[in-house]
Amino acid sequence: MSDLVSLSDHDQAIQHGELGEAPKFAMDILLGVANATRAKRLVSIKSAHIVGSYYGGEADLKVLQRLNALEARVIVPTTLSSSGLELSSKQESVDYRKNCEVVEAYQNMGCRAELTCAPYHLEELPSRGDNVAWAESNAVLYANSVLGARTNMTGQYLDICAAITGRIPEVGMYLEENRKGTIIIDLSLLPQRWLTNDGFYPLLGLFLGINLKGEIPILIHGNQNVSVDYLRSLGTGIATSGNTPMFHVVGVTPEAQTLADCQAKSGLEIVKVTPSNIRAAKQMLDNGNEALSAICLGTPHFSVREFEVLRDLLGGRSIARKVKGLISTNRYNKLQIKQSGLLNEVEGLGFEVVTDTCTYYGSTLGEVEGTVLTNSAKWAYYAKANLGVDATFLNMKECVESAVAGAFVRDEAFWDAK
Amino acid sequence: MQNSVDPLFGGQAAGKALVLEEPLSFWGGVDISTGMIADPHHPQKGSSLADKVVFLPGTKGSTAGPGALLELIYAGNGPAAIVLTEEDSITVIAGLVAASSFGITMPVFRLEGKLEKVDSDRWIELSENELIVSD
Repeated sequence: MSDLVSLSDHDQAIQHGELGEAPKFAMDILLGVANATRAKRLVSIKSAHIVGSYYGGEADLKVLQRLNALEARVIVPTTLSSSGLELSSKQESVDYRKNCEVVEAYQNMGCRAELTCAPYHLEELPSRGDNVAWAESNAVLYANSVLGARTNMTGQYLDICAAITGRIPEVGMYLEENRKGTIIIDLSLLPQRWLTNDGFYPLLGLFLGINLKGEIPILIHGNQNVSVDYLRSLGTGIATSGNTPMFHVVGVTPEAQTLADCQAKSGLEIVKVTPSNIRAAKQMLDNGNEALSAICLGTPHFSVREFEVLRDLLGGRSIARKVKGLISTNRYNKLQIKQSGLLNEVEGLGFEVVTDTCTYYGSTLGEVEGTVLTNSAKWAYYAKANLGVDATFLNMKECVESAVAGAFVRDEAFWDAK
Repeated sequence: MQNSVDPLFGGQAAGKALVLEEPLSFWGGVDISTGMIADPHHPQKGSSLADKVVFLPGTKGSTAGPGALLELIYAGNGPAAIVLTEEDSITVIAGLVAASSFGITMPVFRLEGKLEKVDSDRWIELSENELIVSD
């Protein structure tokens, strides 16, 4: 099966079980994927980020328990993505116990229970050019595009196998030639005010994810002050509706100082995004003006900067009593806003700040009647299938005004006019 | 028939064809208790993957796809086999883990060249390198 993959002496030792059963189990999966993806060899990684740290079912739990029984250990720094619910608030439920079992199984292997889908908010970040094995699709887009580190959309189990062996098939984004942009996305037809608004980037991402079909986009933005939160939202949107692992923004992202730096060849096709493209993406995520039941922010995990923006938009106003306000973030960001007093402020105005998990799956949101409002295209895209709830996407300002009013407040002029 | 396949692992399989028009996210996109496509954005929402030979033009969305597909296979609602018409590793990982952890085989094949003359619901037999379509 692995005839075409050239293995180092160390890889072969693992393959033959000389380092134990767990590394052999991991190597068998790595080589199966190497074969399927036509990798020529494996490369070493510096860190891993694991996606499966929530209870997904009994089969998954049995696989993890087997890895524990084989005494599997990770050999590179490895962090865990979000779990199924907030594990730091103890509960007496099967759901809580099962999620803890999954996280503990990973901790037994040496993984760190950061429990965040935004590992790029943690202190230790990979550097430009580092090979890493990150799972969680939004984090993959961020690692490649914003940090200049190298990772594929590492699938669940391949991530832990990479962490156990320190190796990964060298295909896709690990190869310099595959990181170049293959299509130019021209944003010049869009209203300038969209380009400086948080609500635009998830929609652009959603549109690109649907339409890219394997291309790596080069965005010509015309403004070099695009915040990392906006780049994060762009990548999250792309990863939600598509499978593109990377984007470039000329003059902004690290491998795209100039167009010449990041293009695969000269004379690439240019696609001009039109206002109606963006409005169509927004329409996909709109469930009308039904009763507003809840507002869910922080998918991916809210950054400290986003908490500041929220506080400023609230301007001391509480959200309506009947609206459930939830913000997902990680323990690291929560500690920072606790120290600065920001946590007290947003909690005092009616929001609940949730860590370790996300509200677009699992049990955190609970029963709601009516539409859920979110500033996340990912949340709105997955809500119906995951939670059975209707969701509507709006920008952060509209979200805040709606939450305060207790009903949908739309800025039609912002989205409609040229 | 013109189709030839490269077995990535698993060996022989047979079942009715389900030819997917778009990539699928197994996590959040499939109902594990029935095997039906649940993604409201997928054009074949409501089609069942169970016991089918699924022609898959790749996966999209969550990287947690292998876990969801593994649960589907473990629950007995998985495909009879997957024929990749575009490159994918999510299905390969799930198949490898199902085989090594539970001894359940869900073969994965890679289509060589372009997919020709296969409609959903035709009976498919897959062996080493052959894909045979019958009525």
